[in-house]
Amino acid sequence: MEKEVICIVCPLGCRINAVVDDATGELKSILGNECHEGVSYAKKEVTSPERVLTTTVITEGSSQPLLPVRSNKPLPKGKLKEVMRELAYVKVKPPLKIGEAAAKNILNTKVDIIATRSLTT
Amino acid sequence: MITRDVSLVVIGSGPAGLAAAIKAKESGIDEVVILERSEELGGLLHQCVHNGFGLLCFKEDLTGPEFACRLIEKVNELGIEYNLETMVIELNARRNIKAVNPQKGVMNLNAGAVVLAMGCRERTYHQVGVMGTRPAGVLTAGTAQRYINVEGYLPGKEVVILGSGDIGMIMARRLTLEGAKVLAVVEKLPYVGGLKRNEVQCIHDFDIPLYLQHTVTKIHGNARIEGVTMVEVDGKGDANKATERLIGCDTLLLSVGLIPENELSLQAGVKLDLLTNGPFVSERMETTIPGIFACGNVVTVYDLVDYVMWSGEIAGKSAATLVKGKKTQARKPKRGKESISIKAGNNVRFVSPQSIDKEIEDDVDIYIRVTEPMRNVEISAGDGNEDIYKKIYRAVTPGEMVVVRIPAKQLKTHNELVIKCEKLAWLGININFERCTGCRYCEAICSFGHFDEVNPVKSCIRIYNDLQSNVYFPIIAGPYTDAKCTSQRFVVIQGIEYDACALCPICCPIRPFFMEPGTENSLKCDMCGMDPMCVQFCSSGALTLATEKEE
Repeated sequence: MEKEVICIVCPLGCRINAVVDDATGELKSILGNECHEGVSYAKKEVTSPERVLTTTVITEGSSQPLLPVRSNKPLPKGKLKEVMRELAYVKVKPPLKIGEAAAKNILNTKVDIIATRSLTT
Repeated sequence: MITRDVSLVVIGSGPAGLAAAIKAKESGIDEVVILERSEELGGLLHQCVHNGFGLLCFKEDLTGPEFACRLIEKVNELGIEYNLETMVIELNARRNIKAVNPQKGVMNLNAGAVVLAMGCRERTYHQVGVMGTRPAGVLTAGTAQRYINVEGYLPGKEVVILGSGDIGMIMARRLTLEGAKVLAVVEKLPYVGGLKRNEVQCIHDFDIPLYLQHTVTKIHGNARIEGVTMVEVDGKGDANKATERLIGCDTLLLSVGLIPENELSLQAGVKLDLLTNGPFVSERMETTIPGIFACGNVVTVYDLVDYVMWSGEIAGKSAATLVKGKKTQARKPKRGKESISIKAGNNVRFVSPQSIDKEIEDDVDIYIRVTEPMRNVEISAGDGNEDIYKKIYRAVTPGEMVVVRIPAKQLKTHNELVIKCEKLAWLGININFERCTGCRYCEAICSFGHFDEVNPVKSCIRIYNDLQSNVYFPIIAGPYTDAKCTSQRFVVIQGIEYDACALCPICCPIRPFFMEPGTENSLKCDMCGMDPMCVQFCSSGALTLATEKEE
């Protein structure tokens, strides 16, 4: 499988052409990167890309209609939409402190969704 | 009506204002008052729920609310006074402030020093000249951000975004995640306006169509927007009518730039720089009116919150020094003839701050923005005769500010500094055989830098000794190449296969020497990110970073 990755390590933004072995999922060859940093970035991007999810959840019994939240660890990129759908049904009640979980082990990913600000009544 | 004297008033409580107030309080000023027009401290940080804040100053990847929380906690810890829902309606050059507040009514504050931290405002469609009707559903990206992240409303289901600034791209991702469909992100220029990481993580990750060199020329619909006309533009920015096409949508977001909010600064008589749209400031973030300081996006629109916070800290510290100096009757001599003005030279759009004191003790950071994306450039600062700062960058873009650190020690002889950005035709490591002493320090440092061990056989530079003439000469493994030729073969470097032209090792008798011992991997010089360690550590001057400027 061949994939184009734009490296975001520095402003060069190399367009890297990475070829992945379909059987093993290992990086087979890489072309277009201008430094070693691009190798590890492309490897991560083609094998298991991950992103930190930041969003909001609905609150109940607070003057703030929404609570901003984030995943405490990066989530697999492909799961972001699924997690969003799950979070649409999450409602949080005060009091909740910054850093406390609004949803634990979301979709069995072992990732918690934590509050990024405190929620008061 | 309340009238009182205060040491320092900070107008605005975004990251810049909070940082200024904290720094001033820590520097020993008791009476610091923050005036904030909204109902909570933190400014726009609360609606920026995405991450990427504080990577430089806290060395952590925080979200906007988390970043705000850290600063607000500090403000409460230090017991800094703040007034919420307070609008400053007047500011004059003698630092008299008139503000209104629903509880206290009209307040008159006579401040020893003022820090302006009002931030910036979004450019609206009035300022970009889109034709057509003015229906509901046309809003700026920041307004949409507030609706979605704070108020909990989705402004539309089918969205077109005009402009590819950072907020625009981040909103494209937010809208997609919240279930709306982003039909197009339209950018007039041939490159995106914001940071690369936002282009990748917000646009490409969600397969959002990005139209570069396109613009929106017309808005359709009466009560509610029904669609927009999109058209291709050429290099000069002229629209090509033949490429017009209609996109049906129910929302148009504008992310077409930010303007520093300087109504108060103008009222006080502060001089503005037309390039940054903010006040002229010195390295102490003091405006043209003594005692009035400015920081954050009111000065110039910064890319990163870290820069904003640092500018706030400088303003807070300088304001504290001024206030304390007044009390002890030991005021520093006034600025004026003793300052060096800083000008933007070739390929530089603006510089900030625009002047620095001749007597500075610490190095000063100057923020610049280049005019267009460029590769292999040298950014330098000099007075025409001599450069006191020089740095090579592999790539620069207008979307990412460049920080130029002016060394304090070398400054005194200059009257004017010009910061320019010049394209390089060639760059590489220049070798002067005659100066090489054969110390082999370069071999040691190269292998240590790349493999964490001092082992000359793993170095990308080798010193050879010609026994007949007793001359040492260094040889460097060729830099990366993606040249394509008919006789391709794979070269393995650090476990990864590279496409490489096989001709060079055949032609050059030395090249096969650059192999990692025990493996098939060949070694190649990567210039250590434009700051080669071998050059840094070469004490004899045999190795220098050589550049050739474009005519």
